[in-house]
Amino acid sequence: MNKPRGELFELELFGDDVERRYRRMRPEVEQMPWGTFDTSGISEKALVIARKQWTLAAFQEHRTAIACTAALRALMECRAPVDLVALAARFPLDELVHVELCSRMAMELGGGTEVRHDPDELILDAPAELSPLLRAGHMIVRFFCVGEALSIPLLRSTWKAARHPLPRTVLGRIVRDEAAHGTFGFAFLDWALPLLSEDDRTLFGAAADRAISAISRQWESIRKNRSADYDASVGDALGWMQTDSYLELAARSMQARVREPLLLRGIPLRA
Amino acid sequence: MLGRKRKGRKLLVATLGVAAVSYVGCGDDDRNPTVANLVGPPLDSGADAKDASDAKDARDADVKDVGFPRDVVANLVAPDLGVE
Repeated sequence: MNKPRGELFELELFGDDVERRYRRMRPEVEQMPWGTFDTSGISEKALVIARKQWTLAAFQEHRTAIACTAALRALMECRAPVDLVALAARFPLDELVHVELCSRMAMELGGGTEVRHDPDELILDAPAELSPLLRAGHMIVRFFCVGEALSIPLLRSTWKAARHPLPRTVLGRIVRDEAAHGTFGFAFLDWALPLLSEDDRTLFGAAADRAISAISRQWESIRKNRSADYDASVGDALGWMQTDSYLELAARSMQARVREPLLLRGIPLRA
Repeated sequence: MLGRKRKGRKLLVATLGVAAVSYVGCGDDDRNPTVANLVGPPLDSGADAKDASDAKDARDADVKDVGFPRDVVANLVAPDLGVE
């Protein structure tokens, strides 16, 4: 038997006083209706899908927490305005809370599924040879101006599609937090733009192109692999949108929330 | 010195090996560059959501690259609700 690749994505809480202090920072987590999801009406097949998707959502939030932390370091290194950096300092905690919420959703449905990964390869750092300002911009354009800006409308619609109170509450919390993340990248650009040369803006445009292209390829994969039949019981468990609605909204949002605000700020795009 | 005793607990446990086993590759690759909370891609949800009986046998065999490109950091929520 071959040894499996990568490390298993599992998580723990320290407990005791550390957990109590964490709970005081975000008391809303324990107030959510945990333990109320009745899985008896959901097929085993649908449950597996739901457990896997919530596990992957936790993994994606974990990656986003790392991305926010990397961007935060670069913001400090380039001496960005203190209030702007302070706003970003909240983001890693937000993402950690989302990791917990998605993990607990998976556990609520029966437990996580196996996700293996390489912890050294979770995000793409900015090229080390860039100046601190350009390193910050390279990451912020990709993580915030593209990724997080696009997340806002997609998450909001997913939240509206959720019917059960538990996933609806979980997604509602994530939506509220992400609203600030989604606008942050453009606030950074509004500060940084006067400091940038044309070459710098071209560099940021190329970074945005890379992220946009990657997301577009994921959507293409979704379009190709989607199933024609909609299983309502899966929708209940996941709290997700249906594929066609998702893809339509995603394309619209990429234009309005990502491309147009970047172009408006003189960031050239090809993707 | 072994440190203080504590009552930690598991937050996320992979209790289902199954056909749901995924290898999430995030390599530095132009084909694979994303990080976002964009609702996750459909991945292989429909295809590998098999019955539990199938799952045990598939545990070691069905390892798939899901691919969250390193450039994609976002709350992409997976929309694939279809079941094959």
